[in-house]
Amino acid sequence: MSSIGTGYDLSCTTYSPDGRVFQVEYATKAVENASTVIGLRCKDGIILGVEKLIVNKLAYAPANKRIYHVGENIGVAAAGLLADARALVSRFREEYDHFKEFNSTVITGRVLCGRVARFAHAYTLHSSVRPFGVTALLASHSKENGPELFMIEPSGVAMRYFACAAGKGRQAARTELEKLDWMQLTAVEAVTHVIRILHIAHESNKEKPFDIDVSWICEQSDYKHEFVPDHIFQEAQRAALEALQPEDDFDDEMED
Amino acid sequence: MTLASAARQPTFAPSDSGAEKPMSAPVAFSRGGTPTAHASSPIMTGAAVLALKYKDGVMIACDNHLMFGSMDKFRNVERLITVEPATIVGFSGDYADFQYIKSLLDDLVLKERTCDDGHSLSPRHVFEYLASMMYHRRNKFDPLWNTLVVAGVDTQGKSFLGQVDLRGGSYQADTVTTGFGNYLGQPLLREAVEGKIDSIDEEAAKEIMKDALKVLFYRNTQAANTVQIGVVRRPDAQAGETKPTIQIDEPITLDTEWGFAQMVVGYR
Amino acid sequence: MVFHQLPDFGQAVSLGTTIMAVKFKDGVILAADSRTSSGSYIVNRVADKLTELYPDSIYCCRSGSAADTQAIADIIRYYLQVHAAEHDAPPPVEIAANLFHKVCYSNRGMLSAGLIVAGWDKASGGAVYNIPQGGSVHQLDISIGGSGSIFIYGYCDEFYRPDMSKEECLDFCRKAVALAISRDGSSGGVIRTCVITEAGAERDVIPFYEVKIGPPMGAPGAAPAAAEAAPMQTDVEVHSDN
Repeated sequence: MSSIGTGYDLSCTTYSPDGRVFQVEYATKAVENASTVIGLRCKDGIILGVEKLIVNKLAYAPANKRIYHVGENIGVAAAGLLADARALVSRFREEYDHFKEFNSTVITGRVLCGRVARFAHAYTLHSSVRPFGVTALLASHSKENGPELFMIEPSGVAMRYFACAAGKGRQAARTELEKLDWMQLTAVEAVTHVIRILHIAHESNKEKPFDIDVSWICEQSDYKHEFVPDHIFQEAQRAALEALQPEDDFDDEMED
Repeated sequence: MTLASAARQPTFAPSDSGAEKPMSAPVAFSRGGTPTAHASSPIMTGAAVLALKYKDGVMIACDNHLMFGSMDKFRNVERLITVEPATIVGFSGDYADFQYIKSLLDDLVLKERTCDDGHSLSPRHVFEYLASMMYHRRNKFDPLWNTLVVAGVDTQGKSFLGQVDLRGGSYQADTVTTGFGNYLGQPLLREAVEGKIDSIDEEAAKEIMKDALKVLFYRNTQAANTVQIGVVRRPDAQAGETKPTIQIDEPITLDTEWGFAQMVVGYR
Repeated sequence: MVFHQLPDFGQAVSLGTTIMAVKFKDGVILAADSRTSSGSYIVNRVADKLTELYPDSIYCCRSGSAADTQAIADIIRYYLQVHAAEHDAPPPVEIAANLFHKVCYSNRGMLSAGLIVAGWDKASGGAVYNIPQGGSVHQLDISIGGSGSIFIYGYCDEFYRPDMSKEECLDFCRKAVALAISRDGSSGGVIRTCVITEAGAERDVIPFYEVKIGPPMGAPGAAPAAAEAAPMQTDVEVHSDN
């Protein structure tokens, strides 16, 4: 973002002379500075993982959520401005409810992703609104399409992925995700990798304490979206830290 | 009038042979002065539901048939539904209305889940929700033609059993019955259960149910002999359980006795 | 003249009918008679009660008021096109059934419609749904409907098998409709069938008198396959605008 488009960066409704919409790029910047979120497809499911920076030790910890249930078969993890994320998630839920009300069946991730992406895109077209400072990872399972993972960006661009990452540690996370043979991973193995990669991605934010949330849709969860059960999470966390041991010695902040 | 003929002229013709007594005036008047009929009569109907409290929780039972007037139209229908995490709802009356109620309850469960706040729906919540909703519909002169039975175990591990009718009227009791079950089932359940809840185990409760269902099958044209029994059990603290368990059995066929027909000859 | 003895042409056109849809090994078969009447007058003796909802994969059988069921079918056909466009795939049969359920339940009391929806989709294979008067929805292996159906419940309960071949199932359906036609004054004309499998939908027409009534093919005591009737020969293209 070398050229600071004097005058061209105040509204979505005007392109800069070199064809850019600066407000959208600024929204993307907001996401790039946020805590890391990753999604990973495995053999029979999807795993979502989030790094949750602890901004205030006195805050009630469970209230700091970055993974949301949207419906029985759908979960969303969000990187970026938390309040924007909540607004976008409420749109996910509206679309989910509306589809269910109309068709008496659950929406597929593909269609939900398309609808919400169109909604996000609409916020890049008007002078009276600002784009969402959020990148949303959508995990879904449907009878027709099986498990699927999508990512929606502030621009309204949405694509299906086998693995993706957003937020501050995204580059490090993507590098790690590319090394994985996701088709061979079981859900439990994938959870371990997700936690391990989140620790690696946290390097860029090293001085700040953080928590990790991991949710999944897989056979163990009966193809519903739910947080990974505590005992599996703890075991995966232990294995992940062990795998990281040679390169990095961790203090025990994660052991609580 | 039969239900089938009621179905052909549904506007003002509540059924007289269904599980419920019709309302006095299921009619609202539109601005033009012509009557606008909302309330229809039940069309595809489920017969009696029986429920009781026993030592380890609550048990609820009904047949799995739907009647179209006097025709036994669908013979493999789930008339008991689970409402996660600790409630079973059963119905008698109209099946289309019940499917609608089921969709409302599905939404309710989903809303509770998406909140993700550590709370869950107890049977009492479901009961109050249904009672308010049914009363609201009767106030719109557009009732849902059902009697609903709500059975479950609450967060304190206590059994809950209640009934809601098509007017939104509701009560709780140790034994609950609907439709024809009020006449034939309720006395049998009370006899077996009142004052003895803590001494009735699951086997015994099942026998009480099967007995009452059998009497209904013998003496109610709308009742069938393939039935389903569901239970919600209180968590067994000694076994380390912390949450109630729900179980709805596969349909079973009742054992019935007809041998004495041999001895009945002639009509005098 | 004694005018009051004339038939009442003012009565609603209704499909006093025999319709059915049945699952077999490779998909579903729908069958229907072709009589549409107004009171005791036969308005159309070659009516087409098998209505396409989505090309090659989903059909429905209509009974009740012709006006109501046509209007509903038109609405659902539109919604299925929208669904297919958004999902970039043919809609599941379940969706079609749910949409019918929605329309029939929310207009309950104002409609006279008993519908059977059947078809083939990738996720479920063959599927049959019944949306009876009142607007509930039921998934079934076999569904029969219309005024003629009450005469063939016994036949269907006795002879239906889920593992029938296409030929056996066609024979089963034709005999069922022929039996209903023979006892129900409101059913008559030809027997239309539609076989839906992964390969698509295949329609056929046969006059009722060409069906030899008896146990269906494959059942104990049934006539051998060679004795089956050939499809009706027609010189003109068969049209129906009902």
